[in-house]
Amino acid sequence: MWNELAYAFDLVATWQNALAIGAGIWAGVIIGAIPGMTGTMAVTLALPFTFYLSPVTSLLLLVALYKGSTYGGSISAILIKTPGTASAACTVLDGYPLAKNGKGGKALNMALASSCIGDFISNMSLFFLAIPLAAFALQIGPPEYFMLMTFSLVIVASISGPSLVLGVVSACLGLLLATVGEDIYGSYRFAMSENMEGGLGVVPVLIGLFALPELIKMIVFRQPENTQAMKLGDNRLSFEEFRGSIKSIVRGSFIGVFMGAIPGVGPSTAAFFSYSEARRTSKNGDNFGKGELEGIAASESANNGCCGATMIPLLALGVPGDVITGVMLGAFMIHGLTPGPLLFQNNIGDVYALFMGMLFSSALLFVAGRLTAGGFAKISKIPREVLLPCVLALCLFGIFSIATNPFDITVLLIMGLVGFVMMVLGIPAAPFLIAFIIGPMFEDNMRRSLAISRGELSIFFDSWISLGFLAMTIFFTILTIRRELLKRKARKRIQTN
Amino acid sequence: MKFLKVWKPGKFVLSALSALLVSVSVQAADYPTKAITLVAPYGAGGASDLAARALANSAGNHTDGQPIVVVNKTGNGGMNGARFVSRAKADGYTLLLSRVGMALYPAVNTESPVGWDDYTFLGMLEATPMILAVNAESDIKSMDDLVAKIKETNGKMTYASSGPTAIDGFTVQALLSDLGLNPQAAATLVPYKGGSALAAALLGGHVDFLAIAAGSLMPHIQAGKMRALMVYAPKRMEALPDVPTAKELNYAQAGKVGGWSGLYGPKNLPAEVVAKWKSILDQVATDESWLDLTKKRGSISIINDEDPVEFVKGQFELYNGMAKTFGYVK
Amino acid sequence: MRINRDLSSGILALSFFALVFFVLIPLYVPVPSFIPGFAPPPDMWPKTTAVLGMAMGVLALALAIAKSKKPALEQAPDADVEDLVVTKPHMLRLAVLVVSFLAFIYGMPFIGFVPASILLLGVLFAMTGTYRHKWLMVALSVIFPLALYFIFSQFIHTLFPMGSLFS
Repeated sequence: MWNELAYAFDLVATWQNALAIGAGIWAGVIIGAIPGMTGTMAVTLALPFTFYLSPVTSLLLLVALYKGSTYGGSISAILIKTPGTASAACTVLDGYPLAKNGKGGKALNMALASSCIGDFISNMSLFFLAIPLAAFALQIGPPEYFMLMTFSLVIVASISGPSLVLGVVSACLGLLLATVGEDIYGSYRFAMSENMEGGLGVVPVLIGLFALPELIKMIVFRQPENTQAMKLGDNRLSFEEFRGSIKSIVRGSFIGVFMGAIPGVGPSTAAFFSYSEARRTSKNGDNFGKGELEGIAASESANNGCCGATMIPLLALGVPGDVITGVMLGAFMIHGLTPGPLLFQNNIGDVYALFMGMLFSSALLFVAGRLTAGGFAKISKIPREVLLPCVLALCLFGIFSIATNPFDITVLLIMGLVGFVMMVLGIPAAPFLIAFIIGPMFEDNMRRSLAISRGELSIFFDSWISLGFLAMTIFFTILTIRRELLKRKARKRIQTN
Repeated sequence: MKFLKVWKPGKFVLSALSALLVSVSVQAADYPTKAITLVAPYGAGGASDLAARALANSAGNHTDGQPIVVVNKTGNGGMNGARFVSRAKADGYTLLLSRVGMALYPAVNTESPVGWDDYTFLGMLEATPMILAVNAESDIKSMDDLVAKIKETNGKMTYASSGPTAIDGFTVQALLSDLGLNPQAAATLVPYKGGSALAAALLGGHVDFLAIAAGSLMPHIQAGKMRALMVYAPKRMEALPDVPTAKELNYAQAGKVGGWSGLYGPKNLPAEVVAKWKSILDQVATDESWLDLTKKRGSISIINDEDPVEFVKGQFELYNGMAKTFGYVK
Repeated sequence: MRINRDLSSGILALSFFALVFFVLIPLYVPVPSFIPGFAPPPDMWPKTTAVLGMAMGVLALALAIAKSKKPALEQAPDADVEDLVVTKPHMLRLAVLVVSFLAFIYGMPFIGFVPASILLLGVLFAMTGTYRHKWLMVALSVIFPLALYFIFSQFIHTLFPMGSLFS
């Protein structure tokens, strides 16, 4: 054991590794902050370099890029209402209102602090819980998955805002648009043109829905207060504010770890889940969506909490849970390493070295974030009439470069108009997006389960995991309803007085 | 300092403008004179992407100093990338790393945006074997056990695949058809997306068996978590010397199913470009790093082994024939 | 024109989901015979969501009508949803935006990605209606897309359409 640790330390403590992590984090933060450019793209771009690096160095580079970009997504989400990655969509909900009120720097610092803590907790879970969590993740089959998604949908239903009915309308729209393209059997739905056979991309839909309506609103309504630059106010995060959110940060981190460890769930779901939970339990719950630091803390700790944990199924089982870990699997294979149980037997030194490097990268993320966030915060000084059109241009280029498909641009612009109409009518955008991301997982696993059981519904209640999720779903539904009723009663009392 | 401030954007403008306006006039004789774009039609980290990057890495040494740039153009079962290349200018600067999907898709879709032969075939690159496997804890120990169990359970056996008309769906359906069973009803297909999700389904015991690309399964077979029963490849795999091929077991259709990569260009490429690529591929065929990377990915280099037109045509006809008998196309 | 949000959302949702359910799903969601009978067909889920959407549309309409009958005092809890007044210039500007978006989508393949972006950016700047930074806007609409083009094609080798008119 000690021999291996010492060997691993020798392996990891080189200037190449430090450089790879530093450069990776930095580039990741910047790429993540650019709308349309995602962590997946960053990792792909770096893949050819890994041909020439040692296995540990190349994996550290990829991990650093992934972490950096997950945090970086929050920067543009807060400052220009454009989530750089899907997992930062929740950060928009509170981050942008804060930035508008001149608290952009504060929001960025909160995002950074919670990202780093989430990241650290995630790394620790990777070291200590990898094997049990991986074993658990493997038990999650289609029926369990379906129940987990049901649970998530119930939890996130609370983000719907003032009107539940309009929230559900928005969710239905998201569910419906997510079905465009090929279904799991390879049959096409709503393929009205050749391009629609491929479905609608998450990033163009997401950015169209969040970022564009702001620009369209400014142009159409020309409200005078909108044309002023945002004020830059106090940027420091006070200890009191941090302490107020610590519960949400820790809970968010563990939600991230749990969701990240299950292949295919991913940081977006974790962030939405954690956000809804924080909103439900926080004493500032009513302020969520209007600029609440705790909301940022909840969503950012969860999405970075996923980063380390997505490595769990990859390292322990050899099963990548998303595209990014898929690219990492490619990097492993290029170097002749096979992730999975054998890796821990044959290359335990490399694994320890990787772990140590990841711990180091958590610390470096904080430094890189501190150094860049300050620079980015200056964006808020740019007058909105100059900034917003430039954001659109940036989105056009960024989104086109994802798949070099002009159809993505069409989706972006049309979703911008749809988002604007929704904004005018008071239909919230967040439920749309959650439904768009969770909907396919929900449907696919329902159909998959019923294919396995040949139509028997009992499959959903067969395992204790499904039953556990079901019990949690019922429990939280009752809690939410009770809370709503109490709120309504309180409101009535105020009105009658 | 002031000078610099004015000059910097100017430089941007200049270089970008020149990139925009300089029209491309290329003499094919000294091809290549600029960077070659190699389109990988599937996502990063996948088989096509890794093959493309490996090819770019090795072939890039023989292109007179011009780099080969890999671009992922994904979507619609690889057809987005395929369509882009088949409609690109036929100057040899836009090429496609093709996969079996480029022959399979037109074979199972009557309205395919690109036909199987809407390209210039520059050469075949590698064969990627596919493996039929069960969970190591399963009581199925051999193909005989599996066939018996399939017949006995009357459709209740489940297998994971990317869909009935995907290559890893045809692996099993071809087998069932060879056994004289109904390819759609003799076993239940459970659709998943992507090689790793498929592998995870078998690993977690959510399905009974599957037959997918070797690259996604080898780590689990080596770790003792899965048992390989049969290989879809021209010959036995080096890493699995005891596992028979579908051909050996006399499965007529299943014996021809398998994954591969090729190099395509748009139709009517100039003869000089084709000749240049012939010589490049000759050199790649013996390139150490190409052979090494191919092996690490679980593939077999088949550069120069097959006549590309004959091979792809055979593949198209195989899948088209099956698609017709199975009722996917009329 | 004052927009009644609940009423218009209800009408819009109801008509959109009805269109999807009665027209688009029968036309564009085929149910292939190869999907076994016991597995839910591809149109099950779109139909479910469309029905749910229609139900919500009806509910929104009912709520809107119920609300309009109540005295204004009881509507207080919704006060954070501001009232929107839409005038003719608003509609006109929206129309111009829609047209310029469409022009970008359909014109880009002809004139190329970068020129189209320059034009769109110029139009957007012009339409903000605030010209305190006139020259910055003019300069940016040319330089910014060119700079982006340079960055994206240099570093990640994106192939931007050059435009069929120029090649």
